[in-house]
Amino acid sequence: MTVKKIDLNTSILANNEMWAKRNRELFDAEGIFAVNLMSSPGSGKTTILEKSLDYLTPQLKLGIIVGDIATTEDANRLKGQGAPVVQINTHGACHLDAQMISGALSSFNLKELDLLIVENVGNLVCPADFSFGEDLKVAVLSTPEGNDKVRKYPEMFRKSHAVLINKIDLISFVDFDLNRVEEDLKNLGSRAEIFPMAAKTGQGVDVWCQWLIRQVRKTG
Amino acid sequence: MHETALMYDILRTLEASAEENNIEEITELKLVIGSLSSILPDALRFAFDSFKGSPPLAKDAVLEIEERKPEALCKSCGCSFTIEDPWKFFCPQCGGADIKIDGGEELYIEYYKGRERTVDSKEN
Repeated sequence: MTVKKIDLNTSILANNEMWAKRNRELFDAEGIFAVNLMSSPGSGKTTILEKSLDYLTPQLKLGIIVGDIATTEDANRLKGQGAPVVQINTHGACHLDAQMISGALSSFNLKELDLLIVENVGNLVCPADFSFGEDLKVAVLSTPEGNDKVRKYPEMFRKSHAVLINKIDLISFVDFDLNRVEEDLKNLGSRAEIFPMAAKTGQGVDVWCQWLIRQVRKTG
Repeated sequence: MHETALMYDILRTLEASAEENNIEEITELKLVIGSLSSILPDALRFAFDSFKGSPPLAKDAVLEIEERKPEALCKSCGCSFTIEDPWKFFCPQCGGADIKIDGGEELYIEYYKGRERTVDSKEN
């Protein structure tokens, strides 16, 4: 029996890349700016979205996709705020992939959207590897998580275009050094914009939203 | 965290390619994994071992993983270096952060080897 060698040189993520390209083409065709919002569980992604919608919806037509392993709690929190919301349950998977996003896109009237924000599954590791065709990656880090997360989970932060430092109102209780985060980002070669905020009280949310609106208008 | 699912995808890619190339079972697989990906080689090996013996993998299939670290060139002082730690993207010589990075994010199947299907085995 002969043994044959086949040089494949095929990406392991070829399937995801194919779906991401398809999504990207759709976003371009429909003029949609897409954001991948990533963080660990409990950092405040949904609260940031809730508060951001107040600033964003008067200026842009938004669509939201929220990803969780289970439940529709996040979607329920965001509904009724002027933007259609689609919940994806990954049933155990640790990240949203491009094919899941593609499936969720069919629930929107894409012609009516300027901005799509995808709240990824809470996880600082895996979502960094799976693009879905987005324009921006945005990472959230909340102060109670500690200021060592950037260097401990470097890939997510290195790839992010903006870092939202949430729960800044708790900084004096949790021993969080913002300078350390800035230093770590610099050491990653990151040029990410840093937005300190307290989504719960609304502090700083306006600055982040104004920046995001500028990014959308720049490309649109 | 998702290495088993990735290995499953890899095997589906291999299955399709093996079919096209008239290969009955795969005996060797070579993957290249960059150190900047979140993919753990050991977890991939574990998944590979658990799929051994079921098509398209032969019972005695071997997995080779080449791990690659990013290579960098400092634009300030010209120093070439390997990024050993994924949180240190700066020049070890001058501390410059303006660096050109090459590689480290590879995630691909380089090649595989397999036993060719004979006329007899086709009939069986």
